[in-house]
Amino acid sequence: MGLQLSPLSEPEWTRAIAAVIDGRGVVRGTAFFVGPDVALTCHHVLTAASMKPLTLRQVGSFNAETVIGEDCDEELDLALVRVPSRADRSRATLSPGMAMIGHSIYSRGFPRDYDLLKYPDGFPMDPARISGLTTLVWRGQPIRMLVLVDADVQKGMSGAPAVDIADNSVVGILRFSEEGKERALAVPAEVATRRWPRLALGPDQPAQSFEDLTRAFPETLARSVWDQFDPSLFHCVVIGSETLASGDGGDALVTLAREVLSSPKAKALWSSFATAWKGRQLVRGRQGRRLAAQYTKTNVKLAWFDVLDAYASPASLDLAIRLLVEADLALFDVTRFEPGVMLLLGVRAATRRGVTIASHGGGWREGEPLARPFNLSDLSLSSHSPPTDAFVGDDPRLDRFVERVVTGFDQLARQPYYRDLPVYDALRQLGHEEKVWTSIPLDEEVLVLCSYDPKYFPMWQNLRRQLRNALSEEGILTNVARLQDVATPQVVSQSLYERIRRCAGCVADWTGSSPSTFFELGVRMTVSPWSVVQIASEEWLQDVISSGGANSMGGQLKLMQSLLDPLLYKSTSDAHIGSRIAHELLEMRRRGAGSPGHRVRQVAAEALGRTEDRLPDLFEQLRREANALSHQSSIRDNVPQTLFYEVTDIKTDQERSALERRIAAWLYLEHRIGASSLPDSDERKKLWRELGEVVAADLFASINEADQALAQNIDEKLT
Amino acid sequence: MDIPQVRDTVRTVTLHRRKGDALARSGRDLEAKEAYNTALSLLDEELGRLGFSVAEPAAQLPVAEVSVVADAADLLGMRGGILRRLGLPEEALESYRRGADLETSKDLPVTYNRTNAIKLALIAGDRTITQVRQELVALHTALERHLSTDERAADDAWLWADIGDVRLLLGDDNGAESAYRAFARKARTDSLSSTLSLLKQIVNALYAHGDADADRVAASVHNVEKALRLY
Repeated sequence: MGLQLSPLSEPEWTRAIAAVIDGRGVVRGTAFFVGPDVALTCHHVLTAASMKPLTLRQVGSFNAETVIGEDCDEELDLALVRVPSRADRSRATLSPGMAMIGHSIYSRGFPRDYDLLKYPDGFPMDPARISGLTTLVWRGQPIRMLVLVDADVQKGMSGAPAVDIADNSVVGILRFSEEGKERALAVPAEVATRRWPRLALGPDQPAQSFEDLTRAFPETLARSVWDQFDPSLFHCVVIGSETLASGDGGDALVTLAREVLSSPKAKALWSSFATAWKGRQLVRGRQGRRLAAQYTKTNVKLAWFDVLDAYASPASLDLAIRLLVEADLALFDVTRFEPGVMLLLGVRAATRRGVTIASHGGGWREGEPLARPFNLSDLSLSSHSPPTDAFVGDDPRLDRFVERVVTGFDQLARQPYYRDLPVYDALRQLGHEEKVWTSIPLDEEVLVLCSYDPKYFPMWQNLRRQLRNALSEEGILTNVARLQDVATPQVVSQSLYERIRRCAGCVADWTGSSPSTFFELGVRMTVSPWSVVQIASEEWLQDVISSGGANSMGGQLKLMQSLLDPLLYKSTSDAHIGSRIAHELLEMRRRGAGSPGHRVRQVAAEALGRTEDRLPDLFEQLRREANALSHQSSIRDNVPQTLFYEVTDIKTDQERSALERRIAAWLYLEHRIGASSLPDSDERKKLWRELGEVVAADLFASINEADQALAQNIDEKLT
Repeated sequence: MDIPQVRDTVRTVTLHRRKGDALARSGRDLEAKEAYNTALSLLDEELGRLGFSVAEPAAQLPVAEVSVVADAADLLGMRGGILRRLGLPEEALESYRRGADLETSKDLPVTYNRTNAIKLALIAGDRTITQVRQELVALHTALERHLSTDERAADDAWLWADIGDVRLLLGDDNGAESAYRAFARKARTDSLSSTLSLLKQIVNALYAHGDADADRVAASVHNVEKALRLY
């Protein structure tokens, strides 16, 4: 005899569960409805089905409903399944808070040993108790799991809700039991809400449909995104702030960008962009970018989104990262230096040398004083605040904007080490000795990225002490340091970004919303295969998230918390934060070797493969270096290039070095490329002739016999 | 106008000129002459392409953009140098004078042709120091104006050489030394000796033509060389 539910006495979640049945009629597991047409279950339940179609049979229903859609996450072992919509469907709601240790957990499902016909309403699990969290490595990815003790979870219960009986909310999704241990593991509910952020939390939030839940990107992002990078087009991305996200159109950076691209001024922009790419090639396919001679609007791809869109879901963040890595021009609204924007700016700084404009709105205008983040103190900030004075004709911001962008591309074309953001070279130019590229092991140093605000100092001291002790208990005696604690004569930017790249152990504390910390965090997530342990003070985070008003940054921090899942601690009174961080660092050490790093890094690397420009050919590189030392037309335009040109020895050294580079380039063209046999129209042949003439002319001027002989030899080849 | 082509020509001409110089130094005069003639042909061809053919009378200057005029003046200056090497001082002087007219017509910051026209006139015995004094003063004024009002012009080592030459010929040894020092600081390391060797040619020519200022100029050249420790 089956256990029948009384609709009046049982909580709603018990009527939300459903059996997952495969095409052979075998029950493969349990699901529970979270919306009118959508149920949540484990991904492995779906893959266990030996035959399609899958059906769901909900408690209280005599009909099995065919599954008509799925959205699976193999890494998390979670899936949403879709059936036809029913407005009166019972549903379970996910807990808005964390699961509490010691709380009692109920569940109901469809164990294999209990015939569905006899138990159409499922079978209750014995009450269990939450004993804590553990980390499970599932298909190479670490996932935090709830541990339930005294549980007797049988096959078929996978996908069933783990319900905290205190408030009848779902705190987890049952995965499996560990044989002989009487304990089961459940995916925490917050993991599901990170994956599908629109899942309703608590009974007061309206249930969403499958379509709403699985929409990958917010509309703003979806409607403006380019599908794939096209080398023949100009890609521009605009990242808006939360502060100005709901502001009037005149204050939005994207409005300015749109106006420029619709005006005749865009021609100058296009021309400078095309010039910057002239003669350069992409690493992939060694192809140049075939850019049209003239500007048309169809040559431009403009994507825009605000910081809330970027962190709306994992897919949104992936997309935002891809766009800002691929973009030839990236415009960041850095008004109030919001944490989410700073993190994205860090990703951009670490990946692209392309032109980036950081623009501040909110009433600030260029030339006015402005407190800037430490790491960005030498950033040339633009302003997009609307003009206060009445004016006629074009908005004066347009000219200023175009001038900046054009200058950026002009400089990019001219200067091999062009920078409009810090970081890029500091991450890459570490020297030529092998050891300078290797990881700094956990035993040597743990780098902490955090606020330098005096209010944070007690927390820093506590954190350092706890973490050092916790690692010492694991046999690791290491230096836990912020950059300021490292004794080095190097400038901060050079030393910091080298460490961000090389330190295997890194902790980033969000507390205090330090813009520098979030910028550094973005860099770290992008460049390190060892990822980063993120932490935040729970009190601080809740304060920021719950604070409203026009200047609130709570929206983005809430979304970022959901996506990036920092470890929360209770300020200086938290006695366990050190050991929790140590545990994560050791986990990373165990699984980190060979890991592709944080998801941000993976997406950035994939995008970079499409957009990175190839290093110049050796002869071109040598020619540029030579011209930078002593230009080949300097006989005619006799202008000093040496900084201290009054020191003849320095000047002689530069001239000699330039000549030797040109000789090397010419010999390479002659012997490696065989340029003398190439058609006259070939650029390499032209360069071979040009370099040959310059080199021979210089050697003819020498009184050295060997120089004369080489000059003669080159001259004969040229003629 | 195709500026890169002018640059190509200048580069190739420089090669042939230096090749000729090297051959001349080793006594291979015929081969040197061949190299200089190749350079001369290239210059004539390029000047014709720019619309400044040397076959046309000098008085008829074509209307052209400043950049083209500057290129033509530059080519005429190089041409004067080649002709001088070929032992054709009158033709060289004519080439410099054409170039000088172009420099003046567009108030170009370069004074290479104007300076060399004066220097070659002295070498050829066409003029005396006294006869070129007014031209030297005018040139000095123009050079000082450029050097004190145009930072880009002040970067150009050749202008400092020119003002050094002019001051030296005018008898301002201290001013000449100062200008040559600036020239030596700014110029390529191979520039100074060639400039002063031309001054020595002038001294020799002044003596040969019995110029009244020969002793004074010789003393000035000696003083400048001494100050710059070039001998």
